[in-house]
Amino acid sequence: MIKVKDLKKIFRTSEIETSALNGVNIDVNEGEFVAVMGPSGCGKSTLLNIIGLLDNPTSGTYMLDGKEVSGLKENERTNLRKGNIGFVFQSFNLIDELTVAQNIELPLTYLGISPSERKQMVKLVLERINMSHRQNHYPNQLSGGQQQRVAIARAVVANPKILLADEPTGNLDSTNGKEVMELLGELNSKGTTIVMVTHSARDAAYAHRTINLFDGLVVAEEHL
Amino acid sequence: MNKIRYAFKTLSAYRSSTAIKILSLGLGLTMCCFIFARVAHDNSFDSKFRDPSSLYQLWMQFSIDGKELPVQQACLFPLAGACADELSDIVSSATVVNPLGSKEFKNGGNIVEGDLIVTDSMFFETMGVELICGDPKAITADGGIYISDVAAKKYFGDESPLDKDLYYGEYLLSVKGMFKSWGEETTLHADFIGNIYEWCGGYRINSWDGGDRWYEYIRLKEIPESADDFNKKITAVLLRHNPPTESISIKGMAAPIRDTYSGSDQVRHMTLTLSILGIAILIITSLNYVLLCISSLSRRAKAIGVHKCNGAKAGTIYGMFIIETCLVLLGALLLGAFFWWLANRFAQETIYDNFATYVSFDRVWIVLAVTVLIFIIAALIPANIFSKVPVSQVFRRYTEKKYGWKHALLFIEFAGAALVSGILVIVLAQYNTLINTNPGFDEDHIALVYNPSNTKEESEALLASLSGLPYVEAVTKSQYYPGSGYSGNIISNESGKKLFSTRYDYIGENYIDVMGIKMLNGSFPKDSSEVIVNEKFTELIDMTPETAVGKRIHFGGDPVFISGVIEDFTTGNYYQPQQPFLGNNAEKYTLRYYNVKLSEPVMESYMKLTEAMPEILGTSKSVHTSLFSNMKIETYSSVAQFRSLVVIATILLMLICAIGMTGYLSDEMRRRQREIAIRKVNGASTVSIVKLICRAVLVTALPAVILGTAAAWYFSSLWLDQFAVTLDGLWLKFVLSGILTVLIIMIVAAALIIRRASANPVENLKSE
Repeated sequence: MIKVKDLKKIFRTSEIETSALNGVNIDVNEGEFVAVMGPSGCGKSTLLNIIGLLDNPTSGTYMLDGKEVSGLKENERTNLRKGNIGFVFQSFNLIDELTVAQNIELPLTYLGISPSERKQMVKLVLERINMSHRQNHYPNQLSGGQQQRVAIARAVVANPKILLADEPTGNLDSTNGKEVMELLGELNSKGTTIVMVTHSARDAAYAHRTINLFDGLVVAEEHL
Repeated sequence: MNKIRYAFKTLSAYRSSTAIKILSLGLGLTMCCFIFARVAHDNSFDSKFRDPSSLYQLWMQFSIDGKELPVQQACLFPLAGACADELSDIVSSATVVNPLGSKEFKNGGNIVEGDLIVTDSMFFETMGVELICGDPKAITADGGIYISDVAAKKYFGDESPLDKDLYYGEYLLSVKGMFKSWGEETTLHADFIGNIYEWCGGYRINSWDGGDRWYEYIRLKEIPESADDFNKKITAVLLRHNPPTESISIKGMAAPIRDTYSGSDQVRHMTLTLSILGIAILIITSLNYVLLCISSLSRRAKAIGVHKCNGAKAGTIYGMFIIETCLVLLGALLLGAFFWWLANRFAQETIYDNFATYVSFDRVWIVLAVTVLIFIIAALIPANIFSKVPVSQVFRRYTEKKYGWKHALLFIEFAGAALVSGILVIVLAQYNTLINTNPGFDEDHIALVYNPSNTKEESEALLASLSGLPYVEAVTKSQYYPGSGYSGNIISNESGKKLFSTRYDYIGENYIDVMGIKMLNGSFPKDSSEVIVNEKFTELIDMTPETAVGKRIHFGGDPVFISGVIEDFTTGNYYQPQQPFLGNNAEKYTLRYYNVKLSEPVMESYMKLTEAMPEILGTSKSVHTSLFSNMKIETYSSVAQFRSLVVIATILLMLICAIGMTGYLSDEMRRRQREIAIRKVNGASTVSIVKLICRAVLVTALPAVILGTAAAWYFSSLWLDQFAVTLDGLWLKFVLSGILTVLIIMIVAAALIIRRASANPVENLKSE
């Protein structure tokens, strides 16, 4: 499903040039749960952003579902991302001014789904994460674990083929972290492809395979 | 000293923001000064006379059958003198003046030209005009003339003008005195002063029975407590000498000479509209500065916190911001001086007749007043807000709580922009209406030749010469011309009852055809027993063009028959309603004006005509020719200048608003950058982000524009009140103006947002 070949990403400023990825090769199959690990600054998040079509690589190829997407323009990336890729971040990234239900509804509004259908889809996903009773609450009224569950619900509400998670338990205690990882595992078991960036070996244990990055290169791969 | 150093450092650290603030304040300040200088100019007319507050002008108002006619400044000749004699406890002196307009004199081979007023021996004493040299009583002697110091300097340099010979045609005059000019800002401009009895001896001087053509002034011993009581006394003087008839009565009144110009409808309306524009720009400029400051609050809160953590009190922060605003204002003043210089050099005729007259050193108080007012609003509000920033919150995103402030300021800016744009649309449309309304005659093809001093033979010869020119289609003559306002006379019915005052003219037989005026019924008068009238005239005698022909009326007491009715045409200008008109057959008379119909291309024919005139008339005679279409543009030149001023004010205000919106939106985008990034990650495109922010702007812009447009409607209607002919579809123009303003706001907002909206969301999420 995801084929990345000789992927490079260089960040340039007027003074310095930083190489974040130095020729990464990765394959992720449909339905797979892959954990990307490595020390800070090794290029994990950069790789995730490129896979998630938030950024373009400097060079190399990226085939998504058999289609080359590395050179797409911003609008084309947005259109392809919509409904196909969901994101979960370490800092939850919920919009403070919107309620739980409105936050979850967000990707559906950009897909042009009718309000009644959106309402139904939000209701289903809220039930799935056991947050129906909190649907009219605002993010600052929820615990960290609850916020991350809402963020996951938002990421999967449009039934994307791929879910990208950037240290989803980084801001959570162990109990809440476990809950979130179990939720991701459940989603994967129902067919969602997941690529997760993590520092935690415990979280990585939920994945089928781990990929280790170091200085922008894949240095090891391990099937669990 | 430290505060000044910090203020300088801050201004230089935020260079682009400082430049924007100086630019917006500089533009606003300059425009306010231009506008208020014009308002001050229009309100300072006739203030150069000695003790102008006790110098009054006399006015009269006729009533016919109880219906009051407009108040007129032309009075019966003996009125001023009678007031001086009979109200001597109040009036110390009085004078009568007749402004004869521009005249040409010859001194040897040189032409000496200027405005001539003729008056009596009480002029200098009453008006308080200084006679620099010469004898004040010599004005009563024939052949004497006085010259202003300005005209004397212009024509005779450092030589004494006394006893210089000036020829007016064949008539010899001698300069008997030099008076100090009372400036350009006057309703009684004079380069020369002559003897009223010598120049106007042919008119009915000293008569209480008609001849209301004199401007009269009185000097008061003390200002009357009740203007009404004083006016009643003047009316009593008038009625004592001129008892009311069955249908006509007269009222007299006096008003300070300084009110003559500023109190006129045109000036009053223009002053009101300009004052509103000026105040709107002043408020918006100041609030725009406040908006820019508040928008930078989130950026600067941390620095304020550091100052406070290190011992700065609220007063210290307050002082720093006051100094900062002072420095920005200083920069704005320097920039304003540059704009001032630019306008003086390149654009003065666009907005003012004579820039130096309006914008002189003695109006420097306007700059000071505007600067102080802007300072009060622009400096105090942000200084107050910044000094109260709590230290506990400055290291967070402090801007959140100032959201309402920013919206309120933006609302006022948008409302101001809509107000000014609404006024602009109406001023543009009205000027267009004034210039393009069909005057009822063929103004595009007709040139006017003025030749006052000719004999009947010379007149016939001139007509023949003009008719013979290859680029002239036809020529006709008249005593006055459309747009001149004409002279008036009373119309009575068959029983002698006075009905109304009509405008009248003496016109050539082919006048109606040549001028392109439409004949509705009947024919041209065959002799002096018949007259031709317009539609308005027939309305006032309760008839129609069909029934009026053959009707007998009395014109100035003489019975005449109506031989024909013509369509209405402009007798004066579009400030006045359509007037009744009566045309007499002029075949017997030698007239002043020759109306020349030119062939196409008109401008080329006109140029040829002006070149040919000295040859036709001889070089010893001065010739005045002009095209009716040009005269019309000249008539409404004050509206054109006003239009230019409003155009410039609107552009500047829009620019200031755009600058304010830049500050607001950049802060708003910074405030919402995380939200925008999240939305983008979840599928929002750049367009949808632009729409989202624009929608927030629209929520403020829409009610603001509606309010501003409604205010524009109200103030424009007041301005339009001065015109008898006004534009069509007023409401539609306001709707369009409102829509256009909203569109401009949204386009500017979208242009400002799009760059930030298309930024990579990853960067914004990282910065959180």
